[in-house]
Amino acid sequence: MDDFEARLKSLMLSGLDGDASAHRQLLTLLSERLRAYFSQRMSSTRDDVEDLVQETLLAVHLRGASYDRAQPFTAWAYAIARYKLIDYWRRRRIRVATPLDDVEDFLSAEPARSDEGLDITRALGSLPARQRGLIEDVKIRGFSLSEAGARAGVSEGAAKVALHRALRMLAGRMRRADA
Amino acid sequence: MRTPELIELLAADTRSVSPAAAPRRLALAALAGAGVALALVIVWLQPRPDLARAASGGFFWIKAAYTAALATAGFLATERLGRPGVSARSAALMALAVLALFETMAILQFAPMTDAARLGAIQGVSWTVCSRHIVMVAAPMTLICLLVLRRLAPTRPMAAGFAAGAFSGAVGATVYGLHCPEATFVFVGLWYTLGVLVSGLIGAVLGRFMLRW
Repeated sequence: MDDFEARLKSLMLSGLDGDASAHRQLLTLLSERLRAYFSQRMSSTRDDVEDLVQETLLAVHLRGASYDRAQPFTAWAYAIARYKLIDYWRRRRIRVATPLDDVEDFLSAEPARSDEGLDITRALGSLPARQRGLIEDVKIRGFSLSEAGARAGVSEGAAKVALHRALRMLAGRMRRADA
Repeated sequence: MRTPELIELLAADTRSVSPAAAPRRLALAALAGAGVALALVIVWLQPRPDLARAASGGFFWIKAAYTAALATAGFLATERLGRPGVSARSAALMALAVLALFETMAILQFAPMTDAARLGAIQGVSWTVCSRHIVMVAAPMTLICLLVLRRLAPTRPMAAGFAAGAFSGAVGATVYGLHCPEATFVFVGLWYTLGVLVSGLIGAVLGRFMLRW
């Protein structure tokens, strides 16, 4: 498990320095861990698990500034995952005791299968056409930011800023989907 | 949307983040908030007429040092509480140590006084407005700090809100010192401290609602 921490932390540090492939690897490894953790703690359907995985990935992505580089990465990621789990229960008015687990449980949960997230699809559908178009160009059509920007008639830099804003909106809408 | 697709999207949005991003954002918020507080004290409350003379005296600076020390602890606590999985205990202990030191001085000053002198020390000339003014001067900064915290990742919204409110209250109290003529440990230990605590409580209540993410 120390290997896991060391590996994720080095990917996180590279990601924070702007390395997209390290960032992708980090989110992929983390998504497996999150799925395992949430599956173990939720009796409801697979879809809900995937919604939480995706919401947590968005938070990890958008809130990198809250990571203290002197801190273990897994402690930070676990605290976010746990917060998202409690928030999820609170929003759906599910009354349960706060999870009696710690970072060890997060690291040792059994892997589970990946599925489709429904909240994010709904949230995406609620975004203004421009933001939605940009996200779909990058996601579905696999365009690079410069290609997606060209289609919208803006520079790559402007497309990058717009994508970041769109992702922040998406994260906000996901939480409100069932509030 | 499937998770691998989301990850591709997020990877396309990879951006470099400075290690100092969090404290820098909070410091900028404090600067803006202190600016508003200063404007309020100058335009609304007005600086004490004898400011120049007071600034050459010792207690003016002792008072400022007290609230500035509380503000330092408040800054550290707010910054820590904006980060998931991090303890704010050392900052809280620092605030308590500053508080204990100043209140000890207040008690030492209060104890030997006659009853009449005690009442005079407690009431000063502005006990009816002091705490309230501090809270009002600090309110804009509380809001700004909460907006900055919202973009970090506070997992304990009320604690983080309290830290942001108390931090703002301490900065507000420091600026308020330019207006306020009171010059005893007893008065400052009582009413300034109350202003900072109330500001913290307001921050805690606001935090409960604003710091959801």
